[in-house]
Amino acid sequence: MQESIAVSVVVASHARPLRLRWLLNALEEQTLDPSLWQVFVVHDYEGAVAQRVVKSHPLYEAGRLHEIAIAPGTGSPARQRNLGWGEAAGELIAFVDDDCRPGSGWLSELLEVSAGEPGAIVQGATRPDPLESDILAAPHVRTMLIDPVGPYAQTCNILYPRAVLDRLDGFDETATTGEDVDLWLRARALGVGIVPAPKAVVNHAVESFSLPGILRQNLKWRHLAYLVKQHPELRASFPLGVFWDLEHFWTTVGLIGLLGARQSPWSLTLTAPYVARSVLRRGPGAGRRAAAVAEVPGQAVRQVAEVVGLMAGSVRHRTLVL
Amino acid sequence: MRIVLLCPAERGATAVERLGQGLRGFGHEVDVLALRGDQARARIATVADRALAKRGFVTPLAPALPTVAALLARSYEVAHAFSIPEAQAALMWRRLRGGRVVFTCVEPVERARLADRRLRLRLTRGAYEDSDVVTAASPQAQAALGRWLALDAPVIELGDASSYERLYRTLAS
Repeated sequence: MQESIAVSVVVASHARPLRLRWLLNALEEQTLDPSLWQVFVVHDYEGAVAQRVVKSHPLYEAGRLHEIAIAPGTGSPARQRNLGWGEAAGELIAFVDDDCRPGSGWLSELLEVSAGEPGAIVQGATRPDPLESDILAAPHVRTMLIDPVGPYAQTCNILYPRAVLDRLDGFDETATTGEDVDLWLRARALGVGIVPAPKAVVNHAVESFSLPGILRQNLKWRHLAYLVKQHPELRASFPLGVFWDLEHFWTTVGLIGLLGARQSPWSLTLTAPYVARSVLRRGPGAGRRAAAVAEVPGQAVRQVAEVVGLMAGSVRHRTLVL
Repeated sequence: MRIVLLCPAERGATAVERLGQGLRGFGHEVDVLALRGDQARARIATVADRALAKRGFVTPLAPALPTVAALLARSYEVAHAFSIPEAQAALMWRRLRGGRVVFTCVEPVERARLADRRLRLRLTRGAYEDSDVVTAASPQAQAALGRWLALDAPVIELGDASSYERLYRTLAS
């Protein structure tokens, strides 16, 4: 059976056992011939949870789902994915995250595109899960929207030839975040191409957070400075070569305006672009504008925290990214 | 034993009333609370829920407090809920007063309605994972609990008063 495996799906899971269960259910519904694929879940759940979520699943009982359990707190997305693809039998490795729900044609679409572009990385399309779209009304939301090919090659929906992973020695396990971006950039440097598979759709969870919750969630972004240090070519897309995106640029300008207000009230005008963008964040319409206005204070705290976090990361990794 | 059955406004209400009658046959004091039938509370709840719904929250959230107040008004030993809002109210009551919470899944859970609104998933998980016992009212409900919540719940039909009576006694001992 192992010889016929065309693609191995690798999932790193941590602190989301129920979402993992839903992912496994979606994989069970894949239209691709079951003899052609297998799943590896690398997790750090305690035994009772693993039994309930993984080992009771029909895919496990059918021998098509393999689990690699590591000690709680010893994992990272990079390490767990490396453990997974290292054990996998397929010459193609499909990565998906445990908070995702692939469409039933996901694997077959990835394989079809891969067959037409041997040796290339294949990126599918990721969208906020339509089943959870009402949650987008929340002020602090985490989800994903990728129209392939995007610049970051996130592992929520991507297929790598094993040969490429072997050449690169897998994910950088010293990276706290951005390990998927790093993998893609190293592959690109070797001349590996990436192609889109827009019909290989993954639906990404839409999760709302309180303000403290989103601040905790975003703490990891302070380590993006490490990614930029490894790949200074990323700065070509940064505003002024320093800011991760325009939001951070205008947040910093606004922050300077606020801090300078003590010396001169006129410096408050520097906050105007940030406020104007924030008011339009939810789009046109009186109701949406009202919601956006009400959310300005919380959004400002979140954005400032991200910039301050990146400042701290810049100091730690000795390269300026804001 | 003093038992309260938190009667849902939707399907299953008649069966819960019959369960109450069956439990009384065993000599227990049984109240069947159907608070959403109270019109004044329903009006307040509707206004609050409309505001919450616009921000993506699951509704109804507002009826939870009147239900908790009604539970605290008498000293029950077991609160048996049949829907998520009532289960949340019972869990709140348990935190304040003690007692045991039984939650019965009447309708099979559906993936589309597990994480479709803010707080839905948290409240659903809380009801299923924090209740003292979870049962399923049918094999279909049991299968859905297994598939979507990775839970293994015994099937006890709503009309099976003797099985629930044994369950309550086990909890109370």
